[in-house]
Amino acid sequence: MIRQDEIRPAVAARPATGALVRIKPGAIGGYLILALLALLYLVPLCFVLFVSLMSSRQFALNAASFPDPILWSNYPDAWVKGSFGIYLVNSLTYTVAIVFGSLIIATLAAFPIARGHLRGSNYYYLLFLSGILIPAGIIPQFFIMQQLGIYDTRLGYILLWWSRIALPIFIITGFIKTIPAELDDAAAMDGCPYVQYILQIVVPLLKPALSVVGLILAIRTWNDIIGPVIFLPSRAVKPISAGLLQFFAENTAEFTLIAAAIAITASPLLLLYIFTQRYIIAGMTSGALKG
Amino acid sequence: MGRTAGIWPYVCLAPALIVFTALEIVPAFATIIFSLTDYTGLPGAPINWVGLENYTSLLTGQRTFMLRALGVTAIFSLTVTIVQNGVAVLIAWLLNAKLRGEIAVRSIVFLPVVLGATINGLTWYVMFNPIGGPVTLALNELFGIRANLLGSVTTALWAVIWVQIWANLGFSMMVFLAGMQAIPAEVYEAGKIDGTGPWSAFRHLTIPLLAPSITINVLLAIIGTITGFELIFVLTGGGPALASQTLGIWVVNQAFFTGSRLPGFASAIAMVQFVLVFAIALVMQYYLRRREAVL
Repeated sequence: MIRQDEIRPAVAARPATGALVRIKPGAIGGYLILALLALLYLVPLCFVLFVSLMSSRQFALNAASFPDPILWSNYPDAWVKGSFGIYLVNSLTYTVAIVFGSLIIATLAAFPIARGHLRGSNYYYLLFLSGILIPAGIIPQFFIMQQLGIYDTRLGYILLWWSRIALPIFIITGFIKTIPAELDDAAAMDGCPYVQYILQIVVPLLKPALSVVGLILAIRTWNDIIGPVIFLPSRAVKPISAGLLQFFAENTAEFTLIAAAIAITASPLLLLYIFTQRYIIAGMTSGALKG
Repeated sequence: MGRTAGIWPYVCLAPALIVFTALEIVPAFATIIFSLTDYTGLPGAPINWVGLENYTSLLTGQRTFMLRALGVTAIFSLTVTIVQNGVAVLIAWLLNAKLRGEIAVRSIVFLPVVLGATINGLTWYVMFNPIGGPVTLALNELFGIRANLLGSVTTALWAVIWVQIWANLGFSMMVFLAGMQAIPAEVYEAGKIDGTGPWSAFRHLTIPLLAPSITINVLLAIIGTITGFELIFVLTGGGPALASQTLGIWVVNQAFFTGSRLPGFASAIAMVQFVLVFAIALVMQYYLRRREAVL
């Protein structure tokens, strides 16, 4: 028998690729590449931030410079001119409705599938799974939404997102399977109603999975551009990403205002990313791995 | 609980099943039906069967556009897939070497994945702008080129490819990094005993053992570049003069955005796109999986 603590040192040392740490010239090369890489990502983002704080005169004379003087007025100007207030409210409405709606619908469906309570549970599972692979039929979606009278409406857009239920069901079903079923039987003995059992007993146990799926959905909703451009042409119902693009199309030459509008749209995402990046990265990459 | 619950499991399934069927499954398959019609997208306008007319049109009247879009898609898809995955695997390898600041670099490179196509696209639009954009200034300083990168027929596609790779590098990188961290240290220990250097270990140990991550990343990049078009939509809309019009953006342009909207005809393009993705996925799956099996 090999004891656990005997293996530890070998794992902890973990040399091989780590050989770079000891070989000085190699490590310098590595740091140089990583530093260049970081610059490649920071320069465009910082440039947008700088431009958003510049006068349009400075931008025309010497854009690639630090804003001098720092001008905050681009933000309120872009906000008012682009009616970002409407877009922000729309985006928040969509995000809340889509995230919570999808999570409830997906959990309600995932539970009977995971527990085999349906005749042919596995076929339903495969049907939903196929949704991860098959491409969206945008043109028939457009036709169906027009026929149902939900084209260019908030309801239509939310329903469209609720239909993208494949990944949530896939992840949540996998998670429910890890929860022991004894609890179900105990609840059944007590005569606990089915739906109430899912919502009050199962959902709290699913918190880790639900929060990761919720985060991914929130980011995707906030960033969706093709959906609103095709299915929400009216200004009053546009979310913020589409609003930003609209603002850009209407003010193509006003780079300082565009930069401020980009920063406005990006800031909620940045905040979310700063506080939850571990879950976001893990959720997004593992979702892809399983898909 | 299942046996006592009666109809309730089906009631719980119903909402998901209904929206999923009505707005996901049915539309996915209905594309083939619309591709056989002259659907115009105008509410109330009659829809007529035209048989294979849309498809013959792709091979005759629209042939130049078809070949052009196929060519642009091939360049876009191949370049992005190869460069993005090649760079990502090297960066992941560096990050896995536990250099200082690794976590910060990871977070920064992954950031565009969270920011999304509109923000990434417009950020680079500002960078590329011909008046005071830093890229334009740098090109002018270094090479004496005065270029409107997104507005020129020769450079637009390459500018889009650059942004596409920039935006998605972090995703491939994290998938590779996860794959590398799953490789047991003992493998490298054994390699070290055999006198394997860092580069040789990368080439002969890391890459072969990374095969599953490579399969996923390559497939996602190919499918993403053939079907996806968000960044192209934001940056160029497929222009100038169709220089960056892939199959994906051609579908939506033809269906919703150009002067003569023809969603019926666009459905035929979407079918070509679907068959292409399906065939490539099948071949790649076979080829890459076989490599995994050999190892």
